[in-house]
Amino acid sequence: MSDFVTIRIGSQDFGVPVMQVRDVLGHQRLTPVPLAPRAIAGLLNLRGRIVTAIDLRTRLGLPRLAAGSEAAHVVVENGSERYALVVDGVGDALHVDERQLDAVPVALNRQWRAVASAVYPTARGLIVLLDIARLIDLVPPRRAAS
Amino acid sequence: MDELLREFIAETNEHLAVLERDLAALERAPEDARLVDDLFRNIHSIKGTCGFLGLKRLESLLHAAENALEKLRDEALPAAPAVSVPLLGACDRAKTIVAALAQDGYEPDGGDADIVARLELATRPSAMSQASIPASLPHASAAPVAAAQAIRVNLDTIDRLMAEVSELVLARNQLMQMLRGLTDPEAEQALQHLSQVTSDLQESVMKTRMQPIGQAWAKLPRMVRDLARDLGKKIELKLEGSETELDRQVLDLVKDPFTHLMRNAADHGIETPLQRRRAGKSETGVVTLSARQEGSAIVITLADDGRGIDPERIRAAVRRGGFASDAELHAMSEHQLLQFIFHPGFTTAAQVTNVSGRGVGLDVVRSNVEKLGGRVEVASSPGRGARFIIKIPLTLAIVPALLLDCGGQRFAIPQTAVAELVRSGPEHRIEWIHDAPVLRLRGSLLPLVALGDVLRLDAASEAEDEGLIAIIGYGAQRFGILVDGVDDAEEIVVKSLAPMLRATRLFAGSTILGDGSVVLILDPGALAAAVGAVESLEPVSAVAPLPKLAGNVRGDGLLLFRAGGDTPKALRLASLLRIEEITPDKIERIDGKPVILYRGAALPLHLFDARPTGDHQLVLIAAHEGRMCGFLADAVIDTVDDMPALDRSLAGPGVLGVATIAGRPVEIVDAAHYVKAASTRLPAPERNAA
Repeated sequence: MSDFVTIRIGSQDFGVPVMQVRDVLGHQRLTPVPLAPRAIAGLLNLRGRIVTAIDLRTRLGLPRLAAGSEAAHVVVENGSERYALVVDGVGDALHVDERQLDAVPVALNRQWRAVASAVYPTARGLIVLLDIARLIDLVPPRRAAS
Repeated sequence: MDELLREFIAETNEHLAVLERDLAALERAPEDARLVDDLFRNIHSIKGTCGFLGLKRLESLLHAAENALEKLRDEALPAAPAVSVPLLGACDRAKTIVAALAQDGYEPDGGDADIVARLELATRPSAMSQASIPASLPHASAAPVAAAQAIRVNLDTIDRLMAEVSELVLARNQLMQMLRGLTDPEAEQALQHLSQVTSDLQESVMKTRMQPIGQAWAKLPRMVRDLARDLGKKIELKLEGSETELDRQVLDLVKDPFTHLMRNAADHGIETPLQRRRAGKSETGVVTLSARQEGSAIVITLADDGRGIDPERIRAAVRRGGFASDAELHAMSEHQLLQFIFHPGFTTAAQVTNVSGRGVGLDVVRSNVEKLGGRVEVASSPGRGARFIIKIPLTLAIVPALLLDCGGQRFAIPQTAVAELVRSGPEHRIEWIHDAPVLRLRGSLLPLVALGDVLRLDAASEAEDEGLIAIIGYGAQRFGILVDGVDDAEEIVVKSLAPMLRATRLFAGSTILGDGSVVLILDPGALAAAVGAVESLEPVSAVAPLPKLAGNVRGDGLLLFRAGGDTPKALRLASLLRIEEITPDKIERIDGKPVILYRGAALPLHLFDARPTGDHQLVLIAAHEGRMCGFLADAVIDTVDDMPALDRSLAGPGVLGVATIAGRPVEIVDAAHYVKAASTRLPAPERNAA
């Protein structure tokens, strides 16, 4: 767990563990899912496989990109399930020196803290490393408990 | 190492092990022609692959062994030790070669002329003559045959294979759609070929998943024996067509229904020996379970020669359970009456035994079968027996589905759930019971929902007077869903949804269509639940239409409903605001008076004799001079268009009078009385927007 793919949302960079990244795609045709949690952007056909797309902006409590804005999809794997994260853009690979990892600041907004595993300082600024399993945990707690 | 070679080595090692065992068996039974056949086939198949992989040494060794066996076979000669010993030698040598092959990836140097020569010598005519005892008739030696011709495959592997073939079928469909009207004859021919091969492959793989239905029946004889003992009855079980094959997945899902039906037949169907003797029947009751294939469906029949289903007992149980009113019962055909046995909670057993009678069972049978896209029917001949007929599809892997348009999006629904498509118009009118749309179809009223409303789509079309309606049959429930349009039918492969999407409940999964787009698959059962509040209109379809049903219901008509007791009640549509569905736990008490929370305020509730017992109850919300009150109802029966003549002699507080509708007395509720009575005690809820 030392290599990450950086993704950009607004002016903030995030890191996704490279081991879990399966694909990076450009704009995709999405099938919306009525009644789904708000962060679900829709379903897409990835070479014959149906992948659920999660809008990372909504997931982080940010406004969605204006319709027509160029968005990228980062396909990640969690267990046997694949998800596409809808992001503003994809950046370079990031090699992380684990000794320099910082804990997630308590002051960080709750929604962000819930999905962040650590914070990594770089010359460009802090990069928030994402925990995919927690990111895709969108099942309402009421049902998760049952 | 080459994947192909690795597979070959694994396979050949298995073959050689069988070969060795069969050769040993041949020494004990030198005249077993069947064994010689197996050996020959076995060696032949290894040899074939050798040639393909260019394994010359192994090929020529096996060729010699094959020749020897061929002679034994063709001349029907017994395998004397002179032959079987060099054959075993060849087998040992082959093992050595394969072992080296596994280690180095190529055949070891050296020759096998010694073994080849011994084999030739042993089968030379002169050598054979000494052993030319007339061959006895071949006799069966089943075990080695089975071993040589069947292999064990992990079920997961087969399931994965099936999933992949299903994908291939879809890809083929997609290609066919894209290249429709192709002008290049060569490409068209290639496509035809691909299509044919795909279909054949699908069928072959499907076959590997098929298992005889007898496997699901294996436990039944023992169960029937135990049931007979527990119940003090004599029961004979006959199984017919147990070799009928169906998809393993379907098979798993129909095991429980069989068990339930069998218990039901033993407990309710078959009489005690004494009763049977008195009825002039043999003491032993017979339950026959049979299966047969009809096209792409399997029809399973469970018939008993017991007492049949007594319509009077059903009627009594329907009354006891409050499933229908006397008026409804009166109008029902026997066939309609019988269908009540599939109602949740329905039981005719006066006492609960440990076998059945708890009111669970037949509704489970029906819901299990319907989950598979199947149907259950029941027929009965009192005194002679009952018959349950289950019709289920052969496989679930590929489902024919209908594509519905709604709010600019397409949705798939399994075709088995769609009873018919109706365009609303003068013939099939959409009518309103206040703001709940219903469809009048051949004399019955079907609840109607706009798909766009259920899915909360922005561009949802309002239920208008013109629209396309898919009539969905789910169990005894029939309802219409209003859509913008209907596309072609297409075969789809159901894929499960990601966990966080399952909470929506309305979708059974998703699929990729021929054009590559992803669509969601609607779950008919979930839609039926979404129809919710108007669900209880369902008994209407079982009741003969009431007179004077034509006309505009929005006018001064009546809504007939049941609220406990035998006499149906009616509310003037003019005073009815809407119908809400609630669960009994929503009823609260303020000052001991029942209320429900409605639009943020406490709504006084009048219970009549309706007992809040079931899963859900209806509340008819009535308004009078801007104030509201609710009436608890068990079910809505029907609507009547205009106000019939009232017999006011029976009027009283809260009762306007009694009218005769369809030959039965109906009490007309004075909504104003209850609204006024309630609002003196409670602050008036917000003013209604009607």
